[in-house]
Amino acid sequence: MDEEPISQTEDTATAFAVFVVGSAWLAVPAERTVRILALPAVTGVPLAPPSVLGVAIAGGRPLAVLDLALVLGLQRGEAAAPRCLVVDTRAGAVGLAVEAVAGLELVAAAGVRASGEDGRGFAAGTFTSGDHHVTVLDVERLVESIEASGSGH
Amino acid sequence: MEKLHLRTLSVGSLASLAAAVAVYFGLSFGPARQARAGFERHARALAEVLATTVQPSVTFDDKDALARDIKVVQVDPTVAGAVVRTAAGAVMAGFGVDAVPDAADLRQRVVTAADRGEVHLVSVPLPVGGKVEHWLVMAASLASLRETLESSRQAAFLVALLVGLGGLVAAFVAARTLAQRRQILTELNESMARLRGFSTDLATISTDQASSTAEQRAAVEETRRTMDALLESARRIADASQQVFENAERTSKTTTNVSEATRGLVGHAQRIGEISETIRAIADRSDLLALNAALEGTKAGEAGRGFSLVAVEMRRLAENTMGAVREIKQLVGDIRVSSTNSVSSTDEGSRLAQQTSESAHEITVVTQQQRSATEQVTQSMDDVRQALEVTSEGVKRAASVSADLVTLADRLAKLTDAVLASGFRG
Repeated sequence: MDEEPISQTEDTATAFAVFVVGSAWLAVPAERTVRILALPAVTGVPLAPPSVLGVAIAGGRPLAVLDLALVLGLQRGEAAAPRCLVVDTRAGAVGLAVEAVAGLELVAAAGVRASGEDGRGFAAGTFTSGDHHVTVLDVERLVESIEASGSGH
Repeated sequence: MEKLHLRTLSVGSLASLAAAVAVYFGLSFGPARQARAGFERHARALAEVLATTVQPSVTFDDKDALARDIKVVQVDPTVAGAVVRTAAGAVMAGFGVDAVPDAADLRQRVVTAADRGEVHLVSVPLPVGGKVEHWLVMAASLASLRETLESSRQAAFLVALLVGLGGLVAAFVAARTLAQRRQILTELNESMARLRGFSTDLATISTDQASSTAEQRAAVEETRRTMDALLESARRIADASQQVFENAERTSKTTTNVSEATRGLVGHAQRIGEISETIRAIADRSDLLALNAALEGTKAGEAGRGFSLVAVEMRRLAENTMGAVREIKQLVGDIRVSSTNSVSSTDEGSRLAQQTSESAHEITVVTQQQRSATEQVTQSMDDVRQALEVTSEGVKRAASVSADLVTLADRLAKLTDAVLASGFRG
């Protein structure tokens, strides 16, 4: 399958925060990543969707933490040092519970290709990092999906 | 009447011979040494009386020597005469004490010596109507017999036998007819033959007994050497077990020290694990800080590039640290497992060393008991050997007496033949 570069010029490069959930390598743009935390203690929220782990306190503010493995339908693996990526969305800062953060990857615009069926419709594109196939998540669409599923509760 | 008399004498001679045999065995193997000595003493005195009373007369050259060497005296005038012996054993006496010069002084000396227990008085009825030549024959026999009596501790048997033979001779003297004399002499010869046969058998038995005694002594010696070897073996075993005991004690102490040191090592490993966890936590926080620093550097664009590079290096260090901590944790885990196994092994070694020590102690005790028992057996073997030596000496004496008896029987046979020859010619 031929993948098309995402809408960026040839000479521009984008930084991604690359992380691991289960056996999948995922990434979000670094510019939307606010902070990377050790997964804090999470308090469950009654009537919240199953994909919402709960609420944690980060930097003195409440933070909704999403179970990314559950959202993406991935098998959760062993996490020696689970992390929480705080990403900025239109709905505000949201925490993504991941098993590990591989690091920051600067990817040329030509290296990012349009995604096919990866990410259950939340993939914004893919790129290759070493031997790993990395899927770029569309965080806005993911949050909107969760909000839509939670409006019924 | 005469036949009855002769038969009585014959029966009496056989009884005397049987009694002599019984006396011989009683004296040779009886336990009462004192009784045997007393019997020998009285028998010797009886022989001296008999020898003295058949002497027709005696002359004295040295009265002082006579008085000094008085051994036995009979002073009863109704029954017997005096017995006087010199130191050399020669008989010097007459039919009555009155026949001895200075008899009153001599009698006084004898009575005084008897009161002090220095001499023995024996009463023997004096035969009446005997002829001098017959007494001379008997005296000559007794004189030769005395040498054997003096050299053998079995004198009582010979004396008893000679008493029986004397009875036969007395019967011979008392006999009136030639046929009776021949019959008596025949019986006397038969008695001599029996005596010779008995002595020969006794010599054979003594020889066999000597051979058996020698074999027993050899067996005792062999047993003694075996006991000595056992003693030496027991001593070596005791030394070896003592060495094992000491080694086991040292091993037990060493394993105990190793066990304690290993438990200390487990404690140190535990502490290392705790410190490693702290290092891991610090490295984890450093990783997060580096990640966020790189993130901020990336957001800063070109201006933050250098900052991002430093952050990336910091994160690499943090990751290396966490990798090292994981290896340390793995090693500490291995150390714990090995230490636990080592503690178990040393505890087992300590227990085995303790068991070895107890076993060695038991071996030492048992070996000591064996040594004690072996020493007792050795002592018993020494006692048996001494007893065998005594028995061997007795067997030698018995053999010597048997040889003397054979010689004596032969001489007596010759004498009776001489009597037969002289008596029948007359």
